[in-house]
Amino acid sequence: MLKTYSKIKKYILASMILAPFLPFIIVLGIGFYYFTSSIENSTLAGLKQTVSDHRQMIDTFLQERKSDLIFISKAYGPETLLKQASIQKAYNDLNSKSRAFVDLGVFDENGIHRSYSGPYQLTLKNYENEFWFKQVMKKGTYISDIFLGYRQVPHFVIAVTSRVNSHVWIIRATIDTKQFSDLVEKVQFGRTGEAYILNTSGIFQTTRRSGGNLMETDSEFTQFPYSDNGIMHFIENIKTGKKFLYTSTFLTEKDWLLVVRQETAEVFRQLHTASYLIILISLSGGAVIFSIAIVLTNRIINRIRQIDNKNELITQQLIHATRLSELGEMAAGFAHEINNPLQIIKNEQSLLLLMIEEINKSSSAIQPQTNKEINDSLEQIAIQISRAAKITQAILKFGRKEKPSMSQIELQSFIPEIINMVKGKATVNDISILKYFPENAAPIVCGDPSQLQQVLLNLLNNAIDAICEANDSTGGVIKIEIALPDTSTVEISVSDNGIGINPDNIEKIFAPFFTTKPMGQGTGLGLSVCYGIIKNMGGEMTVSSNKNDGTEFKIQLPAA
Amino acid sequence: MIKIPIKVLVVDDEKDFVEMLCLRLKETGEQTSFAYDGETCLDILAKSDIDVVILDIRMPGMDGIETLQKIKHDFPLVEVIMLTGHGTTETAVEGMKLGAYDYLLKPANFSELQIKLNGARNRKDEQEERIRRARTKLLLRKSGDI
Amino acid sequence: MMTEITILLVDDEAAFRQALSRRLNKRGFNVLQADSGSQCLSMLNNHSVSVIIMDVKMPEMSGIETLRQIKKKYPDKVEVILLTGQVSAQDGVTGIKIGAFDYLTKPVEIDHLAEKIKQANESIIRKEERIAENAFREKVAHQMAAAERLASLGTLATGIAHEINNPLAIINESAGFLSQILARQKMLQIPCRKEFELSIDKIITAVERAGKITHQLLGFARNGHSDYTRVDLPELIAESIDLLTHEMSNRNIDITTSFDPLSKEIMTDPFQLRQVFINLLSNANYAVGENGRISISTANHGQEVAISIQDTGPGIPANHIEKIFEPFFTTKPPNKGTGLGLFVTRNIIDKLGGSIRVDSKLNVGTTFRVVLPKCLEMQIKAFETENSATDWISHIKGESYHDKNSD
Repeated sequence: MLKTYSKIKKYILASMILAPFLPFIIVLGIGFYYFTSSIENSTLAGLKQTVSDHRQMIDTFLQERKSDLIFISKAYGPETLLKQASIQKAYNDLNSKSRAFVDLGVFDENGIHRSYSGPYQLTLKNYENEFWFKQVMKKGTYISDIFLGYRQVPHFVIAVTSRVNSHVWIIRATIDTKQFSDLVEKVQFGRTGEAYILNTSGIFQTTRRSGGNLMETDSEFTQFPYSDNGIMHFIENIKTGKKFLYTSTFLTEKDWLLVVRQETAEVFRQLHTASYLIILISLSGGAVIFSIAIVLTNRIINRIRQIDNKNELITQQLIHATRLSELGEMAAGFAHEINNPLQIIKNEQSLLLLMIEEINKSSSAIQPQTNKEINDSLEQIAIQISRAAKITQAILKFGRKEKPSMSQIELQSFIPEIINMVKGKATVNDISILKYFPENAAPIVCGDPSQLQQVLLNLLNNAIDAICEANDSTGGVIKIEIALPDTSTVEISVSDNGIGINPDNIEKIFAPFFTTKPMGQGTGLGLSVCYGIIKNMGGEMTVSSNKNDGTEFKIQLPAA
Repeated sequence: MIKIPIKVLVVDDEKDFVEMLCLRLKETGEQTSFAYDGETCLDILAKSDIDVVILDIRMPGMDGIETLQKIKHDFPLVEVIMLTGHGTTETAVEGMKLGAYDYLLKPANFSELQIKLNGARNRKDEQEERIRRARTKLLLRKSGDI
Repeated sequence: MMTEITILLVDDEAAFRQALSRRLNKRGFNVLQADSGSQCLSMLNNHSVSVIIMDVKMPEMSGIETLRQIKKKYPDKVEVILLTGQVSAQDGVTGIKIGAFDYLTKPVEIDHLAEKIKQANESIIRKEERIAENAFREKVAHQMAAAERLASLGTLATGIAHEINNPLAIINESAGFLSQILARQKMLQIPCRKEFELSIDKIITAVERAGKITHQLLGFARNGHSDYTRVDLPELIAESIDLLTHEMSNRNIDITTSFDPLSKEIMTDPFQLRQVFINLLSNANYAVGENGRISISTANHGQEVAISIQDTGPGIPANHIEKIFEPFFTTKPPNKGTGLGLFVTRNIIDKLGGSIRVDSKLNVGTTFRVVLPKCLEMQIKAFETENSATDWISHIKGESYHDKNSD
């Protein structure tokens, strides 16, 4: 039985948790997805904007420096610049436009450094085989990658050509890498956000804040996805275990890659906060659902159990009643069988009495001594017959073999009369008898008054005995209550606060000859007779008891 | 031959039964006494000379079996006939194991009771005789030693 | 160990039947054959078959019709696998609705069929186990009810015995005393002495009769306790006969016995079982009259033993057969029987886990047949190990151990 309850409980609990929990989780999941993707999109969009703005700025810078150089070459003319004074002046001009220029030099078409203005001694050095020289000769203008050159200092140069007559002159200026790096690195956002430039071979053209010096190779570069143009973004794990969100784009002025990156943990911090919030919501929501489910399930299971117990009780009572009626039949048959010889004995006894009388009247009277002995014996027989007959009558009553004489009994006046009969005994034992009648009804039952009286007296006497047997017999209370459960039934209940009945005995309590009283007190027929009488009147009698708490007998009789 | 009366003690909580049975036994020439419970029964046995006890098994207070045990312990020579009104034969058999001479079912047949009374008395006489003989032997041996 | 599965192959095509039968034989099945539905039904009467493989299309009685009749007659004893043609698969569905285990379309794949046969056989075994389990439960419940009835009867008997026997004893002694007074010398001359004696006699007889009723009930009811021990059945029966020999030899009654050596020893309560025998034997003795014959025989029935007690008496009228086990029913004249004998007998046998049946023919005789388990507790134990022990069974078992210990 218990097993089935726990099974039902598991089933109900599972469905009560799952039913609200599943949609809850789904709604939460969908919300989470849209929320996070919107955050992700806006973050990315911001990053891309940054990259594109930055590229614009760097491109502009390079373009301006290039125009500066072209302007100088046009304004002065390459041949004029061969003079030291002119080139000095031109450098000053240039410097006034932008502090980024480190030096200025003029080269002839054979790569000989013809004049120079700047901190280094580079005049007359041959640059014929330098990469930038070849490039500028080929393209007319050129911005170099960072290289060391004769000065053995990382720098990059902008060079333009100028044609005078049939001679080609090259005018070159070096850009301050420090200034350029500052320009690039100027972009700074968040704690880990940074920008830097790589050339096509992944060599740093500007320094990187989080480590990465000029001329070094970016170790992550090989993992970058490659695209010719446009802005790219990707997430890359770097060797230190950190995760970065990269945004990269090529510059328009030079085939340099501008990289802006930020640690994903920082980029998506908002996202994480959102996740934590969602987890918190689902946990607390789950807890609420769970506890509600448990409370409700317990309530349902208790209800089921109550109903089951009630049904069980009814079934038990039914079985019990059937068994009692079976026993009743048997007992009645038994009593009947015993009654036959008892009847014979009774007849013979009266016959003997008659004969003795006759003899004593006649002339041959018996001696007084002997006569007394005979009469005593006959009297003894009579006494014992009635004693045995009482028992068989009681058994017959339990077995319902007699038709009761039915009449209407007004309980309102009937019950106080009975209470009066036991009042003396009750008062002696300090027991109060309380009666409860329904307020606006006068219950009348259909039954045999003397038999009902016998039943109630029996119950009251039992109740008094039960209270006296309890250790603290003071404050004993017997309640007689009348209720009308429906229009056709009157229920009389007699309850006490005595010792109660042992659960083992409660089933047997109505069986004939069952008694818990010590030998010689009570035959064990009282309650079985009560039961038989009530059954015979068309009523029901039940008992409920808690050991040490008391006992309640309920009698249901048809209302008149 | 003159009949030697048997000294019978009837023990039962049914007073009327005890009374009637005593009357009948007296009528057949026995000597009777009676008790209504086990305690009184033992008192009487201590005070007077009894041959046979007729003992009801079911009695309030000390019941028949318990009384029987005490009788057999304190007065081993006294014979007991168990009487059972309600009990199954098993209780009676238990009584026999404890040393009762025999048992009878209530209501008992009087001639059967008489036969069993005589048998019980004879057994008691025999045992007393044996003890007497043993004592004499012992006495004789003792005097022989001297 | 796998026991051999017996298959009944039903098909009107002899060639198909032979071929399939050979192939199934090779796989270790025991195959029987029938060529029509009616032959199948008649074969089921005298063969124990667990699986039937039957063609749906048969002349005369169709497979579906045969299936219907099989399921009506043997709802749980046999499973049917139907064979249908490709086109008549609908028949198979109909068959399953009626209770076929499964259907296969021809041509059958032998491995598949063998697998299905094994499944069907398992299903039959499961059903049988379930039926056996239910029957066993019913039996134990019945037995417990009998024990309970006997116990309440015991309380009743003890109560009555105590309350009635004491007054009866006093009446007995009083009447006896009266007759003793009557026997006194001076009373010998009293008038109507004869009438006096007659009355007193009647009283004493009546007391004896009432006493007999109470003691008989007491002796049988014994408060519902049982002592289970190893009992030598022939010895117990011989003992019971001995107790009645005196009564029987007077009337020249012939008693014959025949014992099955296989059911010599059983575990039961000897006292209660002896009571049963004494009871049945004295009934037989009463029935046969002079020069009658009573025969007692035992027969072995696996876990049970059957004991028959047959007499050549006048038999029991049909309208009494139903009532003979009821309390206080007797056909004996008043003052002869209490009417409790057979009632208590049946209750005792119920409690011992057995059953009693009566067959009677007027003017030929009556046979009481008592079937008892050889060992009730072993049966319960065997049942437990076969099935997963249910709470219920262990509860019963606990009770019976409890009984044993309290004795």
